[in-house]
Amino acid sequence: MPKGTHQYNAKLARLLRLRGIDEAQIRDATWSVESHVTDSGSTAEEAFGSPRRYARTFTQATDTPSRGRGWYVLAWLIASLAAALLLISWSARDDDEVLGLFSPEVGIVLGAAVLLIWALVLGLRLTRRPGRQPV
Amino acid sequence: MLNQRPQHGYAIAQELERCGWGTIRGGTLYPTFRNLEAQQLIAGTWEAQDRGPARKYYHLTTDGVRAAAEHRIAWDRLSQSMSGLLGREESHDA
Repeated sequence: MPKGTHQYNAKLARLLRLRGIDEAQIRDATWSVESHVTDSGSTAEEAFGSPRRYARTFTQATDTPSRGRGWYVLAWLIASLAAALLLISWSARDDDEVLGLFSPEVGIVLGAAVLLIWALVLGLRLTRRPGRQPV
Repeated sequence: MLNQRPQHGYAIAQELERCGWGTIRGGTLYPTFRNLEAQQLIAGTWEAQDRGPARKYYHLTTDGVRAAAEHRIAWDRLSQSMSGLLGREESHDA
């Protein structure tokens, strides 16, 4: 397999996930790239163009609802609440309590911790390797 | 091409190149396959290889066979019509 195919596929998978393409299609796309460049001997970039350009040729299927959509919305909701808590706690750091619940320090730590965990999970989901060979 | 037997992407690209279509890049070929798959005119099946990664072999579906036959008839009509038109023009010029 020509050099750089793994990096190409990792970038392609990340861009396709950002476009909301489902994992089955991503696995199909990355294995098609690997299969094609192995047969042709050309690099992925030569055969398919840049990952960004190739990713633009994919469209999200509108007739099949994404299985993870509920989790996706929930994760963004939690992240938004954590960001709001962080901002409110930060602006109220001279006060005794935030929202009548806890001290501003606790609010800042809690908001920052939730945001950090959310960012880590998001990063891991975007950069995970596409599925195993589709046979 | 897929009427005869299932083929994988690179083999189709090579066949097209042999027919004078020039080099067809994967970035052009596979989006076309995806469109045809979405229209259920072709279907692909992954097959493991003794060496190297698996290959996806594409074949015509029943709808695809029907559509190919219709396109062939339409093409033959167009081709005959154009040949007739060009023949008339040539005889007119002479």
